[in-house]
Amino acid sequence: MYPLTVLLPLFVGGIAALAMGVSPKSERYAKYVALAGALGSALLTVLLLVHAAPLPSQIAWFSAGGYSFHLELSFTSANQLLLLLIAVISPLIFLYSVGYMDVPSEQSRYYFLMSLFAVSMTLLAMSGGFLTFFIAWEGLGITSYLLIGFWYHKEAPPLAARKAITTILVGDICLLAGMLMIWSIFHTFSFAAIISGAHALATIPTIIIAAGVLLLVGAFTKSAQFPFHEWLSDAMEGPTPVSAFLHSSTMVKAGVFLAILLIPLFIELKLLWLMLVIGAITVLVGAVTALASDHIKKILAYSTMEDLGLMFVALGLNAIPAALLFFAVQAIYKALLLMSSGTIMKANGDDVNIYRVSSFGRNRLLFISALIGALSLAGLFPFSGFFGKVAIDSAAVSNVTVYVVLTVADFLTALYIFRWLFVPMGNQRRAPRSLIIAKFATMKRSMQAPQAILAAGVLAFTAYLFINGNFAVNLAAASIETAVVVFGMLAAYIMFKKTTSMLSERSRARLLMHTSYPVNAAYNLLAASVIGIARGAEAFERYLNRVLYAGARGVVGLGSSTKVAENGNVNTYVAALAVGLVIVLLLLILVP
Amino acid sequence: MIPLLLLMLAIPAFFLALLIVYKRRSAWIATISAASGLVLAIAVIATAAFSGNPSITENYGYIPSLSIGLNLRTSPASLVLLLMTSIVILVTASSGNIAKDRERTASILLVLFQIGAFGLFLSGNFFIFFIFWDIGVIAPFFMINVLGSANRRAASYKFIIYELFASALLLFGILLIYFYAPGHSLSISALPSAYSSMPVGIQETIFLLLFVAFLINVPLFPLHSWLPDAHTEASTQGSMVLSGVLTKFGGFGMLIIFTSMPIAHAYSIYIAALAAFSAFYAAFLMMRQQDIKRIVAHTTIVEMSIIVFAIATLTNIGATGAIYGMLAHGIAVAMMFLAAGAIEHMFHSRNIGFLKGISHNAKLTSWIFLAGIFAMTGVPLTAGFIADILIFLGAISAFGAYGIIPLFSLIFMGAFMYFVINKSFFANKGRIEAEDTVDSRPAVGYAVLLAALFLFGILPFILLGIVNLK
Repeated sequence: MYPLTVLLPLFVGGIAALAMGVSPKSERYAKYVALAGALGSALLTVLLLVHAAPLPSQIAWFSAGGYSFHLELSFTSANQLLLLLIAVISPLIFLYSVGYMDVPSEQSRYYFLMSLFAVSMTLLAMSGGFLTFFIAWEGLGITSYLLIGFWYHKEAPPLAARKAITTILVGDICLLAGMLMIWSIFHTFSFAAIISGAHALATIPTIIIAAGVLLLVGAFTKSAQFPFHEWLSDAMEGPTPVSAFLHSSTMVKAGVFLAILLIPLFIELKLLWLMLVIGAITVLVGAVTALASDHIKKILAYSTMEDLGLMFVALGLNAIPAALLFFAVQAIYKALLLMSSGTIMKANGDDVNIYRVSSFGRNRLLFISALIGALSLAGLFPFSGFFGKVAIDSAAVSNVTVYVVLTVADFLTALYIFRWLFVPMGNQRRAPRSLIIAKFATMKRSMQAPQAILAAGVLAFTAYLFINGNFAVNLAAASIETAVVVFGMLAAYIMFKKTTSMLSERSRARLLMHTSYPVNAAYNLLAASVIGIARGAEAFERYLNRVLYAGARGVVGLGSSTKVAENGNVNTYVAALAVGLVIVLLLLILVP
Repeated sequence: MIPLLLLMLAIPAFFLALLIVYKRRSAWIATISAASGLVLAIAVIATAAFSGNPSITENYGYIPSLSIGLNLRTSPASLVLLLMTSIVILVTASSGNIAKDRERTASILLVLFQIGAFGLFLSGNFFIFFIFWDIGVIAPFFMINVLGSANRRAASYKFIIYELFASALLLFGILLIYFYAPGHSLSISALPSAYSSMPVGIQETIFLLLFVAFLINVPLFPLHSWLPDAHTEASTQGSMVLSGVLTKFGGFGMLIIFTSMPIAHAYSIYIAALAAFSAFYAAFLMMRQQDIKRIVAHTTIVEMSIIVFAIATLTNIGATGAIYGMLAHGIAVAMMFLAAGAIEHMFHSRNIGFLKGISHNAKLTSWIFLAGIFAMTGVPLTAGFIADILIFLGAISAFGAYGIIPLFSLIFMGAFMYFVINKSFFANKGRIEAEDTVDSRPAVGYAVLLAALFLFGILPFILLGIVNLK
């Protein structure tokens, strides 16, 4: 009975998805079915979190070779947190989509994929073992691929989708390899059993360390960590609600989530340093590139990378509460900011360049929501982002290098997010365009409401943290962070609001800081070297065929010299056959 | 008691005779023959499942003077392969002939192949194993030579030379078994006991002869080069059964020799290394192909290499994975070739350099091709995932961490497949238009294969329950 209750949210989403898959003609109703499914799912998840006293549970799936395999579910605090986040964000995203996705012909495909994604994400949040986790993980990868390439008749989206799926494929295979190697030691896929098994090991076998590294590579690809990160900014080619849902607040967290679930194992394997190093590099790369980019969504994508890097840094410092806090805080403000950029794009006829678009017109609601999101992302006291950042900074105090990296990143964050806010507003002041202003004023309610709700969510979260703030904050770290953020905001105000020549569209500094170019060049080099190996294989294959052909020619040559015997006379054949048989029999008898 | 196993051969034989005598409605007759094959396969599996005994045997007299009978026998592996074969042949018969080209010839050859495949998986002794092996080789030869595309002659001769060479080795091995087994027994189920009484040198010779014969059929590096030519030049139906079923003959044979010949332990590590190399080699070769059918053909070498790798682990779980892998691959590759055939018929080209943006005209086919990629790379909830798990768990338990290495060949294979589908199917630049719209003609076939892939992926316990029977 209990596992069935757990699966209810999955069923609601699944039914919504299937209903649309079955009748592709129902373009008009797809959005309402999907919205109802998301709401129902959210409601059930909340009921589940409030009422059920959750226990780990498993469902037998299949058995082979004397072993049985189970689908495990669990309800640790990390699982509950992610479930809650999905329950909050997914109905808002679906509501936003109702207004945003106004192409009538593609509705059912869009909502089908989104519902499928929501189901996979819920399953991921509930998973308590590798099998369940991997099923959900691949579901995320595939729906993400299909949603990035959603506008596949345009030029860029198929390329972006290909880059995403190729990176994700590498991660998938690494994760699969890692989990199978772990199984070979513990003979279980259950996270809890693996962790207790790892504690009980006297010496750590090398195979588990290799497996741990593979698992982390899987996590890094999904969570867009250096050097597997470039797909995330390209993923912004997808529809904006997809970016807000998958590529900022939920799916990209899957890698971090895996690391959180298995952190005791990684501590046991002494692999925390890997998370710390990769996380710190990603933080810097993300923050610098976000400052250099001119794409209204890609700035936020690089910022997401930075946020995920911060979470890995927190995990690498073994500061799990800090990582979890930031995990929750980031989802809300990042979804809000991406919705905001979607609204700006909508009003500007899908233009994405911050030097061309103008923002918000006289729409105060949209402006204030975006401002709250930006302040929270920058980490200004007392917004929720502040608590997340300070928790990580406090953990990093003992490690000077990391602390310096984080502080630099704090400054850059304040700088780039206010650049994101100020530059489009400046465009409007210079050249007021009445049409765009009118578009902002008449923006659909279904798009405005989720932004207002999320902004209220940021504030509510802030209030919650004030009331329930039972976490250790290093006061010095908090004051340094606040000073750096204020300084960053001031710098942004001077650089991007007062004067507009800094980091302008054509400035060389901007291009130099844009890490995409070298990273993509490195990817191309890697692809070229793989093709080089393939060329080598092809050349060898030709050579091999020539050898086999020569061998065959030799046999044929032998054949033509014995052609005398092949005269079509049946008697000759029978005689030859008899002689041959006698020889074979003699051989068999004489040679024991 | 109904002689189910005999019926599995007799009913297609009856339809073959009917096809030869009655000259109309050939495609329908072939479809009915295939459908009755599926019904019988399910009946055999149900019988095995309810009696708890996977080895059903039926014995009939054949050549008493040589003490060779028509012995029919099932094993867990053959039950699964029979089911896969009958599903693939049903779809091939009902949807494979997209162009409706020379339906009578195609149907006769397909039903002939059905007899060969069923007979091979049902054979209880090596004599009839050999007979059905050759029937199973002859039918695809004509599918290439008569029904194939431009380069069919050269490809078909290459195919038949390789396969006849394999047959000769197989025959030689079988003759050795006949002469050295006590009481001249060719029985497959009695092979383990007969084998242990043979001299060691003969044991080795037999193993190597049969191994090379099966290696050619599977195929593995270095004797694989018949496969891309044959699969590419065959008719769509020919490609579907060649890749889906014929390559499993070798896999089935490998399972027999590895499980009943203890000498395999001495060679398994080398064979595993060869199979692992073969998987990567084929994945890299695939990256240089331009022809969409050649690309799919190379995935067959990759997947079948992984399956031989699993068999060479000599573990119970690895062998189960190999059986499941053959099931998953047979269905998935048939789906890919069906989609490739539809594309060829619609756009009159298979060249990925020429094909651009074809999803505009071939929407259904494109999604099916994508689903095929998912199935090939072992995405969960398709049958390939279960196979991958079992194969590599077996491999790690046999070879340690090195056992996982062949899994990474899937990265290269998958990455290139995604490149192809992006370049030729979805990217819209320089889009070409279909000359003939038959996008939804094989829809029923797609649906059957997709349903099978997901059924065996979501509910793996149905078939694994049977494989686990001992």
